[in-house]
Amino acid sequence: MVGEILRGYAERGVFRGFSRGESRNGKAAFRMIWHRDRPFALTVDTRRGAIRCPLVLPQLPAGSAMYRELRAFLKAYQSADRPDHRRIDNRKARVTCANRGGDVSLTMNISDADYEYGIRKFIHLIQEIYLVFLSEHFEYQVEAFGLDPDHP
Amino acid sequence: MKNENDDPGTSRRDLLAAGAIAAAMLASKPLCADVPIPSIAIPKEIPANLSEAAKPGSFEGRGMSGAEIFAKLCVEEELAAMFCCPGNYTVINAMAAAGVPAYGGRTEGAMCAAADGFSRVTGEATACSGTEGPGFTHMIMNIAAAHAARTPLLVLASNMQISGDDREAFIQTGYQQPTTTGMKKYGKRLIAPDRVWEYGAYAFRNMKTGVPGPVHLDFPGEVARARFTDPAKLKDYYSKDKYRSESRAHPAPADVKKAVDLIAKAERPLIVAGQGVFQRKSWDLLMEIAEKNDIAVSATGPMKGHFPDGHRLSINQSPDALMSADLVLFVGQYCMPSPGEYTFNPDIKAIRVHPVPEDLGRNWPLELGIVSDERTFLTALNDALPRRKRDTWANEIAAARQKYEKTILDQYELGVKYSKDTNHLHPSVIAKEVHDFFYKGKIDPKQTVMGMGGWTIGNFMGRWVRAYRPGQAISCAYQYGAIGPDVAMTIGAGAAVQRGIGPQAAYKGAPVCCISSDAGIAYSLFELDTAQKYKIPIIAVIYNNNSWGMWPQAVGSARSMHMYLFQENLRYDKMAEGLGARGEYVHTQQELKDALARSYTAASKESASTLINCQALKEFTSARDYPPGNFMNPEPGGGAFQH
Repeated sequence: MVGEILRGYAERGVFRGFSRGESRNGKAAFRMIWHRDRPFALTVDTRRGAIRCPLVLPQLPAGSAMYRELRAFLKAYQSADRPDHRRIDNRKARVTCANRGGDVSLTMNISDADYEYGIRKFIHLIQEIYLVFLSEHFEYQVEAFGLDPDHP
Repeated sequence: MKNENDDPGTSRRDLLAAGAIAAAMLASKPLCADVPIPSIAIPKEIPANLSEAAKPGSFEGRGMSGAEIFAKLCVEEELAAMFCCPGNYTVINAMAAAGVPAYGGRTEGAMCAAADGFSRVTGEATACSGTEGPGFTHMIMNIAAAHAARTPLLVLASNMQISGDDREAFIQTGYQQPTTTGMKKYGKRLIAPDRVWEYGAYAFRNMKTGVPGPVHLDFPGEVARARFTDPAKLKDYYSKDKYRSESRAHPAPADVKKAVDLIAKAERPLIVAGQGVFQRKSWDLLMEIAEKNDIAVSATGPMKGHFPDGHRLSINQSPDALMSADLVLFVGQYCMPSPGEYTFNPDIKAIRVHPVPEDLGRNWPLELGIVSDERTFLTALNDALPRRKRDTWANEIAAARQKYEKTILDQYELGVKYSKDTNHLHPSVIAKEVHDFFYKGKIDPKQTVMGMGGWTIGNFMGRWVRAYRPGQAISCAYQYGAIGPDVAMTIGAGAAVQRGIGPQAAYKGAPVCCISSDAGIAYSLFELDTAQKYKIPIIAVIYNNNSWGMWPQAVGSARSMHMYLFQENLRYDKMAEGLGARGEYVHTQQELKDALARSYTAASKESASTLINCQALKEFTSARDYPPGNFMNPEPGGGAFQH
């Protein structure tokens, strides 16, 4: 089901180059070309009830103000203050981020095996990180993605 | 060889004394001649010439030249204005004589931008012209900008002769039509004099039907100067109701029903109202539909205001709500983004309405594509759509607006601090002051047309510019990203305001304002002479950060930074004074407030233009030195310039 949902996004032009890797022991891997024409990997581990993207943002030091802002952004994204269609309901899933040498990963732990909810919310979150959160961090995008300011 | 400084007999005191003598000599003998300098003045011929009655050509007597026949067609088609530099003399003289409102300026490129600006705030077809080779090629950047903006712009340029083709005869030889490949909707070199009317009809068919765009006609001398005493000698010499049609594509009823069904299923629908809505003057219909069904609207395109900022359903200043929309209805969105370029969630459904089928499905996969003229579609939708309240959606938009206003106010407060700390103007302060002056003070907030360009200042102003009525703001850099046409484009818009054309009628004669940069002003500063000459009052607010806005690209690259920097503290205000306009130099917030007030008084009372040179620092762009530095405005939205 997760694969079909992701394929649906690919067919709607959300991302391209979508491929599905091997599925084994309840673990499935997916790849796609998405924001900034960068490859994204996703893994869905039904035994652990987790969806993970090992590299959402590169070159973001753990001690930086921007990383602190990202953590606050993620917290706000899971706040009950936001409308349902714009948040992750913590009764159903929780998202955490980790930083290894500046590479930021995201993990969603799903509480109720509702993977349709989980994968859609996970994709929405990454979309919002790139289209909303990063819009205020132009210089980071130039440095981290080699963004040409003439083609933002 | 002995250096004079090595002379043991020359003491420091002697050198100082010698320096003083030299200074005294310089003081007594200035480097420039001390002669009386006459005042800058508008020649008497100009007002006298402009007040002459039109004198169109006639088939009687000597007959009409090809240029006069073409001019006659332009008058019948109500070509709104022509902006040119001399060259292509036969044609521009015939156009002016026939009664086409004509403006002559300082560079062909800037005049092309001015024609584009006139069109962007009126929706009308306009023309630009220059001489065959250099004048025409000078226009190229702005023809391309007009093409990206789908402007109905008639590009005219010539006076060479077919007989000189391939001979490098005299000067200015060039092949025009290949040069505009990829930046026009239609183009033709006229080679048969008897087909001049026929190809004029081609031009207006292309500009006035379907998706507009630039049309490029070049007139060799054999065509422009040919003479006709009998209209029967002309091919396809029909009136415009025969050579083009006002008939428009209507949507299929089944498609309208599908659209209504999709809107009914949506909780948070959004109309992206592109320039087609403006071009087809459908803003009233758009308002009716939005209010009838509580549908959010983002007015997009090279012009703004066809849905008013400030309306409870306008989403242009509520960017955080964009991600909540679950259905987007693109109407008249000629320049289509791809998913990921607009701030939408990945599950949003899409309908697109477009006048020609070939473009449906390009870039953005659709749930429903509808071939229709924008106005006929909105009429049909308005008839079919039931009333519905969506209070939750409207409240979410209002909350997002409050959040956005707080964000930009916080940014402004930071800018005030940076400005005080450095005694230089931060771009957020410039943008907020311009906003407050034109939208929050004594001036009717709907009045002033604002042209907006530049990189850093364009981004900052994008957060503060407002359009409360159709054609009130133009994004000069729209899609093509040209840095530089801003002042000239806004002068063209100002000419439309002076004449009270279309949506500018209610504000006829009002001053216009342009926000641009020191990099941008280099391209069209001289058109302040044109503004003065024609009494088109413009207030040009120039963000002067001593550099190209892209200077951070040179950081860390050896021997590169010099290419990005200008001399510091350049006096563009003095250059404006030299061109007969007013100049103001400011580097504090209060100075800017005062300068805006003086400039507006001069503009409204004396039709005088002003350049306000706002001294800034390039480092304001840097997130390290002055966080948060630069940013990208969300698309779609008030500051959008890509699509």
